[in-house]
Amino acid sequence: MVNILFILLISLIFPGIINKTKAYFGGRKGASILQPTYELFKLIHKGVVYSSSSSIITQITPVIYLAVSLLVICFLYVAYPPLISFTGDFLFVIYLLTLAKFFMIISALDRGSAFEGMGASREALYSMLAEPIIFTLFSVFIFIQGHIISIASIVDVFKDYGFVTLFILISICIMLFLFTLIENSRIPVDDPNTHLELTMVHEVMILDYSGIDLAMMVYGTVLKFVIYGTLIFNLILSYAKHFIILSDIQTIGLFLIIQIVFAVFIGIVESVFARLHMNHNSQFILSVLSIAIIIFITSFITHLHI
Amino acid sequence: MVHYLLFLIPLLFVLFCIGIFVFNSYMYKYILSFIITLVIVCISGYLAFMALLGSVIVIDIPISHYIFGDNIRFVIDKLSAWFILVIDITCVTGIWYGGYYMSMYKKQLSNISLHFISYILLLISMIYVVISQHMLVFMIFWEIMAITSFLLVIFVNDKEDVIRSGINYLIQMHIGAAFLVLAFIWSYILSSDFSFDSLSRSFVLVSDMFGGWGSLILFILFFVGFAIKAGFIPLHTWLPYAHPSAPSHISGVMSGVMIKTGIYGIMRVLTYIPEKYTFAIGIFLLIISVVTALYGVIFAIVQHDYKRLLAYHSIENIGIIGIGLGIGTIGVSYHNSMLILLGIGGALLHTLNHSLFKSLLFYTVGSVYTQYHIRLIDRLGAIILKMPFTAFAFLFSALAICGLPPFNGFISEFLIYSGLFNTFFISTNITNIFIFFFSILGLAFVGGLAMLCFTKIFGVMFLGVQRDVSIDTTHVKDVNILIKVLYIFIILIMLSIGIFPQFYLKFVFSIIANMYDIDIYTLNPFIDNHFVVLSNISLSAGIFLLLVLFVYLLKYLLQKGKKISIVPTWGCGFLGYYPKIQYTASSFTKPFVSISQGIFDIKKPDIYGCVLDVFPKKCDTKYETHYYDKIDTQIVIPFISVLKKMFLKIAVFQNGKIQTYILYAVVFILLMLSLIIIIW
Repeated sequence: MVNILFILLISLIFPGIINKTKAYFGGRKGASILQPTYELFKLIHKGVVYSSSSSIITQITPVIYLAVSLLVICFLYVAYPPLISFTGDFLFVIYLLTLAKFFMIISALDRGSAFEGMGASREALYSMLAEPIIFTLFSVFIFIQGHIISIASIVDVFKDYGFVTLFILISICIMLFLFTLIENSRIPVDDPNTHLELTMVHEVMILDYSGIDLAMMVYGTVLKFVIYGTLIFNLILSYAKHFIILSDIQTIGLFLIIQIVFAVFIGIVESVFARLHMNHNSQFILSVLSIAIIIFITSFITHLHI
Repeated sequence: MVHYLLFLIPLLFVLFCIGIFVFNSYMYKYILSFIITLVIVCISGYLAFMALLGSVIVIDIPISHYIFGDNIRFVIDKLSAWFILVIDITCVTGIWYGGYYMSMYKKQLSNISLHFISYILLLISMIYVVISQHMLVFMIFWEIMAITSFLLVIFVNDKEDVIRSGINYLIQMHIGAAFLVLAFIWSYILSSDFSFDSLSRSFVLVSDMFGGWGSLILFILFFVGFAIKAGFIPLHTWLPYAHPSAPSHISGVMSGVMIKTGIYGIMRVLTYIPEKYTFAIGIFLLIISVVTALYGVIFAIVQHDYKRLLAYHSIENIGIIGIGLGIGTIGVSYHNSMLILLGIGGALLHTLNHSLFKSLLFYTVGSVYTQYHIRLIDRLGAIILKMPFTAFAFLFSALAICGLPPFNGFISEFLIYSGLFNTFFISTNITNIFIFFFSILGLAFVGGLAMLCFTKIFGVMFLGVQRDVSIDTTHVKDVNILIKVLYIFIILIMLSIGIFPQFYLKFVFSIIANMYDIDIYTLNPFIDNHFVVLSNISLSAGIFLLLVLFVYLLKYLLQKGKKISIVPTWGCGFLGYYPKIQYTASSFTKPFVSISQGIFDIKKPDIYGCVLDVFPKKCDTKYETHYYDKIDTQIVIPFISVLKKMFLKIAVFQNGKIQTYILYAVVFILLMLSLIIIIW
C-alpha cells in the first residue's frame, strides 16, 4: 500500500516538473509544479459535453483507462513487496495496457470525426511496432534470471556488478526511456504541445473529451509515465544493491530522485529535439527495436546457461 | 454396455432424413434439426465426459473381423474427448444461430432440407473422425466431412463466385485427402496394419530403411494432408474464398471446429513420432506456424469484406495453435515436461477458445448481414446505435481474440508465451535460441497486429456515423431474444475460462499427461505451481472488473449535478459535416500498408493517364485498391491455368455426342476381347 501511496504522490508533480524544465529551457519561469494537478481538479468540477454521434464506448473508455493504470501500479515494487505479484505477471500487465489502448483507439473512431481517426490509425500502428520492444526487454531479464520472472523481481535481476552488467543496465534504461516516449506519444514521435492534426497521435484521440472524462484520461497517462519510471528505478536499485544496502526510507528517497530526474530528462528531450517527420516514426520505432535485439544478443552471449 | 450408445447416432440420422421431408414448414424442419443435434451432442458429450473423467473408452464394431477382414475400432481417449466437446459446443451454437440466419431463405424449402441434413451429417462425420482408429474408416469420414461441408458452403447457389469458391474448396480438400491416403498406404505397406497405433512402428521402420529423411517425408505427407484442412501457409488459399461464401453459421462452424480436425490429425501423428526426430519436426512446426500467424493477420488487416477478414484471422489463430504444438514437440525431444504441458496445453486450450470467439464473431457479423445485406466494411457505420447487443457481443469477442484479459484468449496466449520463455533454458545452441527469440517477437507482433485489425473492424463498422448515406437503415433492428441468449451464453463461457481457468486447465493437463505418459510425480508439482499463477491471474482479473465498477461509480458520483450536453462532433469550424470525412477502413490501415507493401499484390487503377485537364472528364472517378494474396495470384492461379491448358487439349475427346461415347465403348470392348484372345 505504501508503494501505491508514493506512486500516486509522485504522479501529482510529474507533469509539472516536465513543464517547468521546458520553461527553464525557454528562458521562462513557468507555471508552478502543481499546476497540472490544479487543472485536474478544475476539470472534475466542470460539466461534460458528448458528441451526438458517439455511443456508450466514449463513456466507458476513460473508466477502463484509469482502472488499468490503477491496477498496473499495484504490481510495482517501490520499497515494499507489491500488492499483487506472480511469475509471468508482466504478460498480464502488458496486455492490460494493450486493453486500455484498444479502448482508446475505438473511442477515437466513435465520434465520426476526421481528426481522431487520424490519431487512431497512427496510434494503432505505433503501439503494434512498439510492443515487441517490451517483450525483448523482458526476455533479457528472463534470460539473466534463469526462469520466468515477475515484475517485482526485476529488483533482483542483476547478479553481479561487472562491466557487462553496467552496460546492460545503461542500455536498458535508455531503451525504457525511449519506449516511454513512444508509448506516451512525446517528442520525437508526437508533439503534445501543438494541437495541429497533422502532428498529433495521442492528443488528437482525446480531443473530444471534457470534464471528468478528460481528467481521467490525463491522469491515466501520467500514471503510465510513473510506471515506466518505476521500472527504471527497479533496475538501478538492483544494480546499486551490490554496492550499498539501503534502508526503506533511503529506497523511497532514491525512487523520488530517480522519478524527478526522469521527468527532467523528458523535459530536456522535449526542449532540445524536434519532432520527427511523421513518415519516419515507424522507422524510429523499429530502430529502437533493433537496438533492443542487440541488447538481448549481448545479454544472452554473456549469460549462457551451460 | 452404454458405449454402444454411439451407434445410435447413425440411426438417429436416418430417422432425421426421413422425418425432415415429412414437414413442410421451415419452423418445423428447424426444430427437428435442433432436437436431433441436441440428442447427438448429448450422447457424444456424455461419452466424452466419461472418457475425460475416467478411462479410455474402446468400442469395437461387433463381428467386424469376419465381415471386413479387419477389426474396426473406435477409441475415445482423452484427446478425442476434448475435440468431441469442442465440436459439440460449436455445432450446438451453430444450429441455434442457424435458425435465425436461415430464416432469410425460408422459401427455399428443399435447399433448407438438404442444408440441415448436411449439417447433421457434418456433425456426425466430425465426431467419428476424431474417434476412428482404423485408417480407412478415418478416410471415409474425412471424405464425408469434405463433401457435406461443400454442400453447406454453396447454399447460396445462384451466385457464381459462391459456386466457384465451393469447387475450389472441394478440389483442395481432395488434394489434401490424396496426400493423406498416400501416407496411410505407405504406413500400411511398412507395418501391415491399418490402425493408428501402428504408426509408431511405421516411423521406426521407415527410418531404418531411408534414414531420417524417410521419417521426415512420411511426416510431411501427413502434415500436408492435415495442414490443407487446417489452413497453414502456403496451403491456405481455399479459406478466404470458402468462408465468405458460406452462410454465417456455417463459416462459424467451419472456422471453429472443422479446421481443428486438421489440428487433431497433426496432434495424433505427433504422438507417434520417434524421439530422435521430434526436435527437427518441432522446429519446423514452430517456424511454419509463426509464418502462418504473421501472414494471416497481415492479410486480415487489408481486407474490405468483413467475412474475408475473419477468415484470414482464422489462419492466424491456427498459427498460434501450431506454435504451441511446436513448443510441445521440442519439449518431447528434451524430455522437458514443463514445455510439453505448457505448449500443448496452450494449443489445446486455444482450440476451445478459438472455436468460441471466432464462431461468435461470425454470428455477430452474420446478424449485421441479415439486416444490412452489405459485406463491405467501408459502407457501414454506427451499427452500435441500431444493434447494441450485437455490437457488444462483437466487442467482447474482439477483445478475446486479441488476447486481452479478462477473457479466455489471454489464458491460452499466456501459456504459449510461458512455454516460449521456458525454451530459452533448454539449449545453448545459438541458432535455436534465435529461433525461439524471434518466435516470441513474432507472437508479440501478431498480438499488436490483431489489435490493429480488430480496432479497425469494430471502429469502422460499429462506431462513427453511417458512411454510405445511400443505404436505407430504417428497418434495421437487433436480433431476437433467442440469439441474445446465445450471445450471452458464449460470452459467459469465454469469461469463465478467462476468470476461472484452473477448472478447464485441470482437464487439459490431464489430457496431455495421458498422451505423453507424464507421470504423477512430475505432473502434480507442475500443476500446483501453475495453479498458483493461474489463481493469481483470476484474482487480478476479478480485481480489474471490480476496479472498473468502482471507478465508474466514482465518475457517476462526481458527475452528479453537473451539466451534460450533447452537441454535434467538433469540426474545427467546418460546419458542413458529411459522413465521408470520417476515417474508413482503408485509410485506417494506410500507415500500416505503407510499411508493408512488398507482401501484397496490389492492384490499383491507373489514374495518372487520365488527369490531362483541370477536371478529368475522360475517366472513371472511382478509385479502388485491392490487395491480393501473392501465394494465390502468383502460385496457385498460374499453376491451375497451366493445368487447364493441358486438359483442354485432352478435352477433345469429350465432345458431348452420345455416338462418340458408344464408339469408345465398342473400341474398348474389342481391345479387351483381342487382348484375351492373344493371351490365351
